[in-house]
Amino acid sequence: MAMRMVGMALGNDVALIVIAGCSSVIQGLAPKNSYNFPVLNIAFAAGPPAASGMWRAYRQRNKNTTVVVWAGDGGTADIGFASLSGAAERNENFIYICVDNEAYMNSGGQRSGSTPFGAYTSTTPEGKKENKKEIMFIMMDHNIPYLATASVGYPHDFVNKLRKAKQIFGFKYVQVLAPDPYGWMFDPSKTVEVGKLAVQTCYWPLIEYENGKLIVSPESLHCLEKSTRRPLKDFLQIQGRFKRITENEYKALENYVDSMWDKIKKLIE
Amino acid sequence: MKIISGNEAVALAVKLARVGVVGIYPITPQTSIIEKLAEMKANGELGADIVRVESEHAAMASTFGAAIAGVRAFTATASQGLLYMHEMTWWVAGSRVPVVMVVATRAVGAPWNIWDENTDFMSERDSGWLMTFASNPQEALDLTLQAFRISEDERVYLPMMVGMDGFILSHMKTNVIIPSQDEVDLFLPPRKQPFVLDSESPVGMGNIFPPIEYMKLRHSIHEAIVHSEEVIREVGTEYQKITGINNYSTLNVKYKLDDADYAVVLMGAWAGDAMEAIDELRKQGLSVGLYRIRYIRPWSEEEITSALKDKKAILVIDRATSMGRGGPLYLELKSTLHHEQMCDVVSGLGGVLLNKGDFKEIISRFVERAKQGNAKGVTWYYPKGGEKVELRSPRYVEE
Amino acid sequence: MNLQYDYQYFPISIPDKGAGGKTGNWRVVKPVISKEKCIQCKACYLWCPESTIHIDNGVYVDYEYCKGCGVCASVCPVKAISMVMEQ
Repeated sequence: MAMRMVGMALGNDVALIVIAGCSSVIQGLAPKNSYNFPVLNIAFAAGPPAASGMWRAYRQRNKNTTVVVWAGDGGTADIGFASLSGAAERNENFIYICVDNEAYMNSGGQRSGSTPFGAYTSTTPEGKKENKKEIMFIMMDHNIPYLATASVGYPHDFVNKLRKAKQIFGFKYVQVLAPDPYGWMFDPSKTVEVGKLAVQTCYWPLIEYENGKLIVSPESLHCLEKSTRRPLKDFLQIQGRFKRITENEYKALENYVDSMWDKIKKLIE
Repeated sequence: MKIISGNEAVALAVKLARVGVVGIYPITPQTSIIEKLAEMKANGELGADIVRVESEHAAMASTFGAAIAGVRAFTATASQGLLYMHEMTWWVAGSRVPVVMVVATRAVGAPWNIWDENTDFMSERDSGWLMTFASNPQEALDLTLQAFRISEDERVYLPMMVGMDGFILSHMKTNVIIPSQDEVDLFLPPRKQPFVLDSESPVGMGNIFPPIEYMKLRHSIHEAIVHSEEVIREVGTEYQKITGINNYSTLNVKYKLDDADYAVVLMGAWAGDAMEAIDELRKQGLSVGLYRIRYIRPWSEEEITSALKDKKAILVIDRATSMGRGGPLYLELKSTLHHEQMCDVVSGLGGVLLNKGDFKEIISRFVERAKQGNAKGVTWYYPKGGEKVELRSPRYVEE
Repeated sequence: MNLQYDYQYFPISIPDKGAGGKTGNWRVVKPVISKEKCIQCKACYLWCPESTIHIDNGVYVDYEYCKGCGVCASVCPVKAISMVMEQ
């Protein structure tokens, strides 16, 4: 779903680097490819450095092709973290899109650094004991030119942010929440609804970070005040992976959302 | 002609080849390659774009990303780094995109050891890369230049790595003939590769191939390596005109071998010491000659068989080992030549230095055993005067 | 692409329809669009994960590849799409 939106946003002059993950399989079997871009499939942690080499090669060939790395949350928060950080530090000129379905979904749903607290995954059947790794704040600390979060529930917002990123020179990080019906355990038809609920309950903030300034996107503005947030349980109840959480765990998740928004509020000032 | 080290020679080759992008990460003993490249870039001599990445795995990935997007790309590494980028090394070979890498060989931990050993280089044998090994700074420069041409030949289209002994070759300075930019431009045509990632006519590289097709892809790599032999001879022969050094028309190099009864087979910088030892032994009446392996992949069964099949006995000296079996050169040779009297001496690991005296010792012992029909098996050799070894400079091959 | 030497075979693919086979076969339910109710807002087209909904003087589904996920029915603001069991 999110990949189509990338196509809508960025047009034809794109080179895509897909690291190991769901999208490696979604492309289908050779000799065909279901993506209408030039695609480089590459090993897990190699996306950002390959993009670093690639955009420089295009520059040498006087081409203005937008280089995009398409990585999952496992390849971003865990195995690819060092190369993500390295590319950001060097301010390499490409767009890094982390498509976040909060686990290693391609291999059946094992937990990743980006899995939230209390979620069921096949390697955390009692629920994950650690909080979700907040990569967006870590990337802000790298002082990159542009960062954005998005959700498949709000495609226009996602597309606008991508179009903006395309115009900026330097390292751009976009993290799009992509609810996974199989891993999150809900009916596939509700994918968009879950994507919207994540934002409405303020679990997933829609923000932009540009030139050191943090801006909350319109769909998330109501989250700044605790009283206007939609109750978290609306988002959790619809997903089977949170079925077994206890009262205490629910409170812990609420605290997590609260402290995240406190942090965002501080950063806005 | 200039007096330069192996590392510097490689850096100059990268400049002359008009490399577009270099992905670099420091590791002893390759560091002066990337330092020299950075220096040349800073003073405007080098046209390449340098990406100073965060790991060796990333170094190969960035080099590969640039290569698949259509420019000539290069990287360099050593032991731990080569092993760390192992996954990417295979990825590049499988993708069939030409890339050139220089490996300044070094022992592998645990435990730490920064000195010369060829095991790291040899451990990449199965990957599909072409592999060649230099024995002096001139050869390091020559082979690196030839690597760009060979890897980009349409009969090949495979990445190529050039090995050289860490410290012994990388840091030792000798006279090197440096070709002019014009000569190299004539020798190296503009980059060719089997496909390019271009938004104008999109192709995807690397998505899932079903079983039989995957096997066919692997088979293609195998065939390409086999066919690369003729390409190497062609390119080598053409290259000879540039420096005047006349041994590039064959993959491997003979030294006083044709009339010898006993052959010594090895690769690398210590060939220089071995040749001096052989000179002296010949004066003493021993009929020995040297066969220096320069290309590990492709492994030229043709050349090797014709050079060695009629020898009374063959001694292989390995600066690497496959634990529990013996040195890789020995294992490769044994599968080529079914020679009864073939034995292996493993030495030089971890930077242990052998001088001319050691070689004389090893070779004479070998000849003794051979005369008794006992030149078999694998032995490990330690030089007597342990710590007191001299650093010898490699010498030119003058036939 | 150099195909001069017949042993050379490269791991590349070309963009084409149906790289995963005729995924229409995966369906259990299929979307049926009611032309009277449809207001052509293109929400279904926007969100369909498989690019199987097309807009061309009206909205229609490519049943060869539609997997029957039901997102289109869920997002349609006027409930013009119903998911019907496959025969």
